[in-house]
Amino acid sequence: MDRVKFALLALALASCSTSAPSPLAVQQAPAPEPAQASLYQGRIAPILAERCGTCHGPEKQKGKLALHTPPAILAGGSDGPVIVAGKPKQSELVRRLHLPLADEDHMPPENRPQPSAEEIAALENWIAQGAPFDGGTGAPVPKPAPQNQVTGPLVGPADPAALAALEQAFVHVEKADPTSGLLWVDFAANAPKWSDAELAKLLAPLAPQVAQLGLARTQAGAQTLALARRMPHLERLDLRGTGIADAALAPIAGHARLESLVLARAKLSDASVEVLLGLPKLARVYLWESGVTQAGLARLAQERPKLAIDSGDETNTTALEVEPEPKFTSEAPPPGAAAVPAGAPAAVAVASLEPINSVCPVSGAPVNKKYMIVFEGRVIGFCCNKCPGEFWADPEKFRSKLPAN
Amino acid sequence: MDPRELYYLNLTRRRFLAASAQTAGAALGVGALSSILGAAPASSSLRAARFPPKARRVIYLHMEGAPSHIDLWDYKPALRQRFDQDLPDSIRQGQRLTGMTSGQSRFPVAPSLFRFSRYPNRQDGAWISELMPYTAKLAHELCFVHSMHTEAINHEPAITFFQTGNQQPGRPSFGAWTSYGLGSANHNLPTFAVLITQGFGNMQALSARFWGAGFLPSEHQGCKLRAGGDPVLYLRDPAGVTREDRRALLDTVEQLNETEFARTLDPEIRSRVEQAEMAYRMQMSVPELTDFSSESEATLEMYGPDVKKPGSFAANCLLARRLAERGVRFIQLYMRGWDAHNNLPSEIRAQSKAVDQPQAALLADLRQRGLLDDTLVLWAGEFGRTVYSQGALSQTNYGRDHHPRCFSVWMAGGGIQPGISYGKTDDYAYNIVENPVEVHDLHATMLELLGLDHEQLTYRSQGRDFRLTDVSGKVIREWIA
Repeated sequence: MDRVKFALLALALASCSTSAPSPLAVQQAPAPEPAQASLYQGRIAPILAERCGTCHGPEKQKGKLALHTPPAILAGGSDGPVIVAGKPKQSELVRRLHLPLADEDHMPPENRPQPSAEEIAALENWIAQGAPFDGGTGAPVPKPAPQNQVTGPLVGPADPAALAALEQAFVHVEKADPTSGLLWVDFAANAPKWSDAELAKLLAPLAPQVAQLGLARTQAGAQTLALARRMPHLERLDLRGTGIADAALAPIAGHARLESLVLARAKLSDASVEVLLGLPKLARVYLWESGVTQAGLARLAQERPKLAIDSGDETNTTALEVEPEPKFTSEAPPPGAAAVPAGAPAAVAVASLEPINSVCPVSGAPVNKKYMIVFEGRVIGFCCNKCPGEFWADPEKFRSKLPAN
Repeated sequence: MDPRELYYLNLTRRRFLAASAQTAGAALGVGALSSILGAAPASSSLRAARFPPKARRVIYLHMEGAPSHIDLWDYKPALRQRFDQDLPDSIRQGQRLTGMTSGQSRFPVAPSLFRFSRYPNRQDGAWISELMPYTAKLAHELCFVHSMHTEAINHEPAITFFQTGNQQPGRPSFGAWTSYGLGSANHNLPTFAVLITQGFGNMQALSARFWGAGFLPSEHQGCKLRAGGDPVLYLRDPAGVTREDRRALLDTVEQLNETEFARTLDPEIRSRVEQAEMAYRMQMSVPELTDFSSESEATLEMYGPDVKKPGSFAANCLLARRLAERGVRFIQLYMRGWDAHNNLPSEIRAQSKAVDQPQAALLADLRQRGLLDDTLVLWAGEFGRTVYSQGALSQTNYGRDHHPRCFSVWMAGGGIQPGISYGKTDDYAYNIVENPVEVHDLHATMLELLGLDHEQLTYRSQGRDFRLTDVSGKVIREWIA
C-alpha cells in the first residue's frame, strides 16, 4: 500500500512543483498581524478556520454548524447554541474541546489536528469577554509553526533518468527533507572506485536538487567541485578522506549557501584557508588531518570567530571539582518525616511497616509479615497470599476483627 | 492491499532495471522517482519519514547485564554517610525485588566505592565516576538521562523490551524497525549490523532474537559480524569456485525463486533473493570493511591497546565507525558482563576499563570525521542496579541486584542536545523524582531524530498495525538540539 501511496505522491509532487501558484507556497504566507485587527479578526477567526473550518465552514456544515462568520457562530448548530457569551465553561464549543480525546463528542475529531493549549485559552478568553466581534483584548499568542511546512526552498523535480542512473550504480539518494524536493546523495557504497569525472557526470543533472552531498573516500576532485559550486542549494559537503588538494578544492570558493564542509584527511595547505574564507555561510568545518597547519587554523579562527572549526585536537578537559576520598560512615540520620514533602497527604506517611494485628483478620491464623497491605493508613498483616484478596472484596466484613487503633 | 497489486509492485531491482532500460522517457521517470520515494525493495527510503532527519544512523552501545548507575553516572554523595544502614521503607515503598534478594533479612545501603568528579558540560557540570575517565572528558558532548525506567526486572524480558518495545519475544527490534523505516544507504552491506563483545563480569545469555526482524520482512534483521575467523560464515567461495560461477548460480536460483514466488506470492522468497544478492555483494565489501590495515597508528592508539584483538570492545568500536562511514543505518554493539550481583567493584572495574577508552575514542573519531553530526549514539543497559547490597557488604566489596525503577543512559550526536542532564532520582538512586522516561519515550525520540514519526512507522501483522512504541511513547523535546 505504501508503494502505491508514494508513487501517487511522486506524481503529485512532480505536478504541483511545476504549476503556479503552488499550494505549498501559500502556507508560507505570513499570518495576519493580530495587533491591528480586533481580537476576533486577528486571533479567533483564524483558529476557528484552521481547526474547525473543514467541517464547520463555508463548504461543510456538519451538525448544521458553521463557524466562519459571526452570524453563523451565534446561530449555533442542530444541538443549539455553541457559545454562551461571557461564560466559557457553559459554552458547548469549549466543553467539547476539553472532552477526552477518545470521547465521541470531542472536537476536533481525534484523527484531526488538535488546537494547542494556547489556542483553547484564547477561545476561552474571547468568550469570557462576551465573545465580541469588534475590539476585545487578549495577549496575542504567537502561532506555532505548522508541522510539515516546507522548510527548504521549492525546487523542481529531479531528472528521473539521472536518479535511475544513480540507483543503478548503487548510489544512495534520499530526500534531504521530506517536504521539499531537495536531495541527499551519498557515494558511501563503493566509494573508492568513483573517479572525479564519473562523479561529475552522474551528479550534473541533479545540481539543482542536491542539498547534501557525501563524497567521502571517493576520488572527487576539481570537476566535481566545480559542479558543486553550481549546486544552488548545497548545504553540506563531505569530502572526508578524499585526499583532495588545494587546486581541486578551489572551485568551491564563493558558494553562497554551503554551511558544513568536511575536509578531514584531505591533502590541503594553508592556501585553502582563503577558499574557506570565501564561503559566506560556512558555519562548521572539519579540518582534522587536512594538511592545514596550526597557523592556518589560527587565521581561520581569527577571521571567522563564529565558525566552528574541528581540527581533531585532543580535548584537554579537566574536572571542575574532584570528590574527596570517599569514607563510609553510618552517621546520617535515616530520612524521617523531613523526607516527606510538606503538604503531602497524611496517608502517604506510613510511620511503620509493622502490622497492627498479630492474627489474620480473615482466617484467624498468625500473621506472616510477607503478606501485608495498607488499609486506611494502617498496615494489616495476613497469614497467606489468598486472604488479602478476600479482605479487599469486603473490608467491612472484617473490620471488627482488627484492633481498634 | 490486493495481492495481485502487490505482485505487480514487487519488482526486484534486477527486473526493475531491466525493464526500465528498455523503456524510455516518462514511464521510466515515474518509476525512478517513485523508487527513491520507496517503491524499489532494496532502497525503500523514507517509508514513513515525516520530519527532516537530524540523524542518518544509530550506533547503539548496549551494556548487557545492566551496569550500575550508582557506580558510574548517578552521583549520590549523601549515601557515603549511610553505609550499612537499612534501606528505609519510605524509599523502598514495598516495591518488588527479584528472587535473588527478596529473601535477604536486611537491605543494607552500599554507597559507591568510586570517586566522582564534576566535568564541564553546558549546564552546571556532570558528575562522573572515576571508572570512566575518558568518557568523562567528553561530558560536553553527552546528554545524560538519569530517569529511565523499565517494566521488566530480569535480563531476558528487559533486553527484549528495550530492543523491541515489548517484553514478550516476537516483535521486530529497534534496528529492524530503523532498517524498515529508512532503508539501506549502502547496498553492499546489511542495514543493521550487530557486534558482540564478551565481558569480564557475570554474563547472561544473549539471544539472536534481540536483533531479529519479528514479523517484518527478514532482510531487516540484524546481521551479526563474528569476531574471529570469517566475520560472516560461509561468505567466502570454496576453492575452485569463481565469482562468475557464483553469479551464474545465483541467477539460476533466482529464476527458480521467481517461478515459486509467482505461484505462492510468499514474501519470504523475495527476502531470500535479496539476501542472496546481498551476500554476493558482501563477499567483496566485508573483507574490506574488517581490514584495519588502512587505519593510522594514531587512530589505533586512540581506541586503546585492545583494538588489535578482534571482538574486543575497542575493535568493535572501530568497526562501528567504519560501518557508520560506509552508510550502515543501525550498528549495535553488545558489551556483555555487567550483571554484578556479587563482587561488583572488581567486575565493574574490568568492564569499565574495557569500554571507557574505546567508546570515548569512537565519539572523538566520529566527531573529527564530521560524522557525529548525523550519527546518533546511545549508551544504555537494560535496567539499573539496587542501592542496597546483595549478599555481604564490606568497606571494599558489595553486590547489587536488578533495579528497573531507575537507571542512567546517555546519548550523543545526531541532533541530540549536547552537554545536558535530564531527570533526577532520589537520594538513594532508587526512585525517580523528576522527569521519568519510559523506554518507549526514548524510542519515540530517537525515531523522531531519524525523521520517522513513531506513530506512523507501522507494520500490519496478524490483523493489526504494530509500532516500535506499541501504544505509548512521547517525544522528549528537551533532548533535541
